[in-house]
Amino acid sequence: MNSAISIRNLTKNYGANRGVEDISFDVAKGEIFGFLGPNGAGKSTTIRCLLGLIKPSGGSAEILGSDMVKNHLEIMKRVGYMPSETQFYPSMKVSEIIKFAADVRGIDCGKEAEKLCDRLKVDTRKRIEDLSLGNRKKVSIVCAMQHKPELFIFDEPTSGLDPLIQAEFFELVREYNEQGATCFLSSHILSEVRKYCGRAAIIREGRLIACDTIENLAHTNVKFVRISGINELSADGISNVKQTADGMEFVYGGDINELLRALSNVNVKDLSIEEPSLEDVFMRYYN
Amino acid sequence: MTLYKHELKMNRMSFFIWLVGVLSMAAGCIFLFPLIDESMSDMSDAFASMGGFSAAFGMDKLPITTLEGFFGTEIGTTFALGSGMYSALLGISALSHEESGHTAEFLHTLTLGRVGIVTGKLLSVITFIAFFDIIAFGVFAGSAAIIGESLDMKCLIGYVIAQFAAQIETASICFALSACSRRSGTGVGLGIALILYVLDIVARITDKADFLKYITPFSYSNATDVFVNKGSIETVPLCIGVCVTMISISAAYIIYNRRDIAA
Repeated sequence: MNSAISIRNLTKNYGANRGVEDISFDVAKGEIFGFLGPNGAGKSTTIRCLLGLIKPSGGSAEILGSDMVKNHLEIMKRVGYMPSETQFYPSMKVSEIIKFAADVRGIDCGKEAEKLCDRLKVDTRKRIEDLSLGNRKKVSIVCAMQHKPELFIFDEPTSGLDPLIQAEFFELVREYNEQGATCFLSSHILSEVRKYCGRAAIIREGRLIACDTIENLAHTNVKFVRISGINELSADGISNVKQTADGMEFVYGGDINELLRALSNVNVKDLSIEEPSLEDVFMRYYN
Repeated sequence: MTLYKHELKMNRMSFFIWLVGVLSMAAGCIFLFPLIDESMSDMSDAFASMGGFSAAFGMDKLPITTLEGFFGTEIGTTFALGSGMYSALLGISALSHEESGHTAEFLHTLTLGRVGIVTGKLLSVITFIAFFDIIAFGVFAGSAAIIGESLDMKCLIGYVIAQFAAQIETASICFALSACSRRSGTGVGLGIALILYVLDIVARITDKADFLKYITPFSYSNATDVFVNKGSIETVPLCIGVCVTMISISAAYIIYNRRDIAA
């Protein structure tokens, strides 16, 4: 695989506290990759290791083919990062922040910044201290995109953005992706990962528990079963049982013939067996 | 260079406030000198013979009835303390305020690198201190001229150079602490400046604590000593001070380059 990101056995400990442990995965060049996990799972810790903000306790990370520790500056020229909790210098104007970020990179991003501000409806005359969280996030998007990087790293980018701006943000991601950029999207919102990402990794309590295409993640041997007419059923592989108004529903991960044999012994009014949604898969990993 | 300019812009307001605050006090004291000159002439001997108190403020070395004596004992003390506190604040907040203000993630994911960030911020601290002292030199000389007096130029230049070295030393100690800290540390910075000042007072009051003059930058930058020595600065404490400065700056680079940056 021609990797934009290659993480090998990445571990980060915070003393007695858990960070991330033995994480390995690759993100191919040109793909939109989702990084799923609830709050506190280790998504931001992984990203902060990737960006050199914190030093890993073990393992290694390569970005765009270069070692992140050894070639940090060269790599950062080719990366656009948007943190989950965006903060800038409160007394500065939006235009000054955007220009500062471009000047540090030593490139003129004026036209691209203007286009981005126009599409995201960013008021460049306002001071940072006068902006809401959503508007600060929009400034952060401009700072991450204006230099047209080869790799985007977004950490929960849409929290605080209204639906229209969220749609515009993903439209921008799609456009840059079509031009060849890779996108690493950390999120706990399953719908946006399912809609925009080709592959995803799932992290739980600091450990990577799955990494595959969205299709394969959703298409497992697990089935989502709804039954009317009975309140209980005994078979190996039944989990996540919930009682409904006229029956029960559960996730079934065993032999489908075993389930059919168990059903043949009870009086069923109605039955549906479905592929689980990504949400169901996600919940299964977390339960 | 971009970060350096950014730092100058971000800190210019506090620079002007401290500059006006400290130098207006110093200039005010110089303008008061003609008014108190005559009334103090009878008390000059008394001021010079108050034992430890006289030694602490250098009144045993220079007569307070001359402008140079008054400058060394009164104005020099005011300026040293004010500029020392400002230098400490500049140093202590330089690196840590990015983390305490939650802007570190933004700054560190641009193409500056940690060495670039430390260098840009260090240069801005040195620049502010240099401008502070250059303007102070002009205010001292100008205020003296306005009241029809003059300060020995060699002594004044020596004093300002000694102050510059002392302020850089204070700022660099605080800068090293700033590299370790995630909090703004304003109280720590002011505390360090005051402790170093008190150590100098103690070293002057009692011979038993004479060794303290090798620890605090307020010793070699003392106005009375520089004026008594006709503008020359005591070599050993100055060399120790330069070493402390170099070690502190090196420590800041090493520590900041290795530690985790908070979001």
